[in-house]
Order: sequence, then structure tokens, then C-alpha cells
Amino acid sequence: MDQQASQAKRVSTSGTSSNRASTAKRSSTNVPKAPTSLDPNAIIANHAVLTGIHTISVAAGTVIHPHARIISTYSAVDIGPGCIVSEKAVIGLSDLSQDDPEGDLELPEIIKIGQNVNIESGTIVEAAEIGENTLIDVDVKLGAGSVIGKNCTISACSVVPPGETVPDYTVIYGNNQRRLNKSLQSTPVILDIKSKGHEKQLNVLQRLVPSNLAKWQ
Amino acid sequence: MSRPSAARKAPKGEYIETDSGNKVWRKANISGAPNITLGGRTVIREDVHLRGDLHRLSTTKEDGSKSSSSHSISIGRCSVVAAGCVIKPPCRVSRGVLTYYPMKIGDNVFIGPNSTIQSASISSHVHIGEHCVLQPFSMVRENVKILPHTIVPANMVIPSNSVVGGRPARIIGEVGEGWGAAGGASAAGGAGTGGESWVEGGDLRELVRSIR
Repeated sequence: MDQQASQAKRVSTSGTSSNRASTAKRSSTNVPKAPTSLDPNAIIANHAVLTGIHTISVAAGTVIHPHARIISTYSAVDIGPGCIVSEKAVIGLSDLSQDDPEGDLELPEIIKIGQNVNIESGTIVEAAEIGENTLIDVDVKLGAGSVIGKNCTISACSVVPPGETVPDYTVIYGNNQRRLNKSLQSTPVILDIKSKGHEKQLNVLQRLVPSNLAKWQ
Repeated sequence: MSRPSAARKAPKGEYIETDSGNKVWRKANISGAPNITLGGRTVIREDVHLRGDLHRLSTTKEDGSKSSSSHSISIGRCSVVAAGCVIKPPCRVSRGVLTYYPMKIGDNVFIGPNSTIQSASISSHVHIGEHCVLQPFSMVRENVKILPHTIVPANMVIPSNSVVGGRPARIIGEVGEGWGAAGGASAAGGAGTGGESWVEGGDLRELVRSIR
């Protein structure tokens, strides 16, 4: 009975693949794997994509959601402990011709993401460095080689141009305006509460997002 | 049970059509499908991300009974989720526990391309333009038009019959008489819908029918 079913399934799948040969494979299965160094306590979803030729390292407690993409074609990627990378986010330089038509940009050798960074969905991260506890909201674009400080908030749909340095405690909001988050700077209690909230989110995500580390090792 | 196999044999349809008339793009990125309800005749277009797996974790109540509501996204009838959208339920810390809250989207809602939706609820006859961001726990009432590239901040409640736009979103007007009225189809056709037989905020049945 079981055999029959599996046979039938095989027949039907081969049938569909011949019908739609060009679109048959999912994007997460037909890309080359990147060399990785993953902490056994990291959560990397089955449908996340890690591709490229340089090393991608992911530290303990980090959650990478399904359909997030990490690309190490041009530079290595190092994701610190306790980060959250949401779906549809892209970390790494993917298409140089768009950002860098003349080729005069200094490309980062490594994309370094600090501790407890929250990267929301749809974000494109080409920055050289993101400091700890920084929140990168939905659809943000961090240009190639930019450096984002610690405890920053980059709000939705903002753009950081290539090579820019964003100091610690900066909030980028509205139409790419900037201000310093002085209350966060002067009151460490707020930071404490924020990091506790982040920890809670990590705990919940670790229960909700099934990990498939073996696929990427 | 013969229906799914019949659907599989359909000649290179880009959409999977369910018994209730929902059309879901074959390669839409859906996780946690058991927690998602589509009301019927709803369209999920290409490259949409639905995060049904982010649901409320079952908690043990004081009387020992387990609440097992693992429902996360419900979308009503005749709604259209356009290409590249991300729909994920919002979460917050409540009583010391971080919980994901179920999200409810009503009937005849159009969500424009590449929008990100984390609202608590969206009522019926809402039109959302392209590249919008609806941040966690925003609420959208009936008959609302959200202009393209709007960012609706977290916890904002948009009252019914309003037009919002901007970063962050502000109420910039009212939709006025005849919002979504079928009689105004020809007039609205001239006003940007390209002469198609559907109106923003109106009955999207025609639009749903035209997608295949």
C-alpha cells in the first residue's frame, strides 16, 4: 500500500517536472551551498538560503527565518549571537552592477553583524558592520560598505547610502532624517528592558521555527 | 478526495485552485499552512510570504485546560494579495510572555504589490497600495484607502471611510460617496484602474475571476 502510494507520487512528480521543467525547482534547493561554520544552537529554517563562496558563520541563539537569504559571493558573512533575520531579508552583496557601476567602491571583506541585531523582512543588508542591539526595520536598504553603530533604529523603508557611517544610538526615521536616541543613551534601564524583550522573542522563535542545521553543514 | 489529483493534472496552471475557489500561486512561500484560513475566492499571487507558523503557543490556563488555538492568519472572501507581499502576525509581550496574535483580514481587501502587513486586523473593502508597510497591531476599519508607499505605524487605528498616506501615515481625507460602488465602475475605470471592471474597495469578484 505504502509502496503503491510512493510510486504514484513519483510518477506524478516526474509528470509535473516535465510539464514545468523551467520552474520545477524551488529556489532553496538549486543554489550552491556556501561554506559555513554554524553554532549547534543556531536556528536556521529549512527554507532559508545560504549561498556563496566565502564562509558564512552563524553564532549561538540566532534565528534565521524561512526564505531569508544570506549571500557570501563577494564577502564573508559573520552573524553574531542572538540575531533575528526575517523572511525575504537579504544579507550580502548580491548584484554589484546596480550599486557599483564603476567598480570604485571599497567592498567589505566581511559583513559583520553584532549581537542581538533584529533584521526585519524585505531588508537588504550590504553593510560592512552592524553594531549590537540595532533594529533594522522592514524594507530598509543598507548600502555597500556602510557601518551601522550600536543600539540604532533604522525605521521602515529607510535607505543608508553606500559607505556611510551611522553613529551609535542613531534613529533614522521618516524621509531618512536622523536623530540621536538620547533617552536610550542616558538610561541604561531602557536598554535592559529592550534586551529582555529580545530574549523573549528569541525563546518563542526557537520553539516556533523548526531548525534544519544539518542541511547547511 | 479526487479533487486534488484533478487539480494536479490541470495543464500548467500557475495557481492551485481549491474547492472554495481560492487561487494560490504554486510557489508562494507559505509556512504553517494549517494555521491559515482563506475564505474562498481569495487570490494569493506570486512570491507572497504567509507566515502561518508564527502562532500563539499553547498555554496551560489556571484551571488546567489547554488552550490550543494555533490559528494565525485568516483572510476573508474575494481578497487579493498581490505579488511580493509579506503577511505575518504581530507579536508583543503580554503578561510577561511574548505571544503572536492571530491576524484577521476581511472580504474584498486588495493588498498591493510588495507590501508588508503585520496588522492586528484589516476590515472589509480596504484598498492598500503598493510598497506599503502596516506595522504591528495597526488596525484598519472598513472602506479605507491606503495610498502607495505609506507606512502605517504600530498600534495606529485607521477609522472607516478614510484615506491615509505618508511616512508615517496620516489621515489625509475621506473616501467619500460611492467608494467601491459598482455603479461607479466606468467612472473609476477612467480614474486609474485602466478600464478594468473592478473598483478599488468594491467587489473584487471580477478581478479574482480574471486572474488565472
